[in-house]
Amino acid sequence: MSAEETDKALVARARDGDRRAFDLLVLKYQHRVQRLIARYIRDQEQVFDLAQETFIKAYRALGRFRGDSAFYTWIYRIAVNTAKNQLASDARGGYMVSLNSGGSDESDEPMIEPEALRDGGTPDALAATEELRTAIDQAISALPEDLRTALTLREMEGLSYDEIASVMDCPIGTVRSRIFRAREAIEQSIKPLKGA
Amino acid sequence: MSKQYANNPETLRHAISAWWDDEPLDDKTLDAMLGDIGQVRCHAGAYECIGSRIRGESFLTRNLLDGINERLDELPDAEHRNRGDRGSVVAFPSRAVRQRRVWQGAIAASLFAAVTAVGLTVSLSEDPAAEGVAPMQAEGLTENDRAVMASLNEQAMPEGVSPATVRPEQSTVGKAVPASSSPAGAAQLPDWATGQSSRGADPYVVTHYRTAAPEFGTTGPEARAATFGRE
Repeated sequence: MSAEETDKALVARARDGDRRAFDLLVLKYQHRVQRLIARYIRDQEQVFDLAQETFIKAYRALGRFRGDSAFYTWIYRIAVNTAKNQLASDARGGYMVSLNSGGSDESDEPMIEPEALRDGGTPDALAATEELRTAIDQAISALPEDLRTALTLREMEGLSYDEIASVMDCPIGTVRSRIFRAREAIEQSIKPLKGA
Repeated sequence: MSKQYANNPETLRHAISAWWDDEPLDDKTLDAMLGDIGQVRCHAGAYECIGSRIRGESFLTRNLLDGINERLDELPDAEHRNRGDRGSVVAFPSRAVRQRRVWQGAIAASLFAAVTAVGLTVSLSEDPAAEGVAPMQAEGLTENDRAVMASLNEQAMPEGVSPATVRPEQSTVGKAVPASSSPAGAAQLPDWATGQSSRGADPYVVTHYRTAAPEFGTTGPEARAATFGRE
């Protein structure tokens, strides 16, 4: 089953009462949803709250998801509407969010750079973030060339396994294995830092 | 979790990595992932970190799963059970039904107004006193004639004027019909009564006819005088 079909199967299970199926959907899309909302909302805590609200709304509306569109399209739409409603509510309350024209390719909607999710905060948090970055960079540098290439094509360029297989001239199974091994190696190197 | 994934955890991690990259999965793999959400959560967090660093994005997205589950636990049980169906939603009537009701109301109001108007018109146009008015007398004297003559005799009645038919028990204003006269007396009509008088109509006749028969008020004494003449 394709990714879209997998999502629909998860929606069907969640609709039947399997909360773990909805958990999988949250795990997969929560970061993308937060980044999307962060393009509308500056306040970091508000971004988290609205992302959470987005999934609550989606869960309550699962019965109305007909599967005409992909699940991620549906959840993105809910996220954008939730963010816009928040902006409208803030404007009514006298709190105006300064918006830059982000030049979105989808519409002329004003959007902001996702400053809310810029790394920062306390000095300790900054130090931990920097340490994590360094560890990942070092782990990537230490990867064999074929693993690093496969992972970079996937994460940086967003290519599918099929496309990567064409670029690297190898079977899809090999691409799948290379990407997995690259992740395993990096994960091992950052595991001590993840808890912090 | 299926036996395959239980015996080989690396196979499940392999599947999680592919799932994270939107690659196809089979039902068994999906079941295995659903059977070990904790492991999926752990690896998904690491993969998110790695991808964010490669793309130059922030690490500051947060794992919202716990918060979302807490919120979902607070939802009413009924909502959980009824999720997927519409529940007990009371539907608004359709637009056609609402329009039909508006039209029915408008038609009913129009009918009521029309019936009321017709009823008022009929009741106002009825003149119950006229039912008791005696028909004009062409010959002889009726009791009314005699009563009028008796009342007129108390005043100076012009010579040759026939008495009007009135209802003796009621006021003559607005009740009497135009005068009738005896054919025998027509030859004795004075000039003012036949319209040949150069002095104009007799004020008594004008007053009497205009008050006793307002529907003839516009015709003037001359017309009535002509009527007298024909009679």
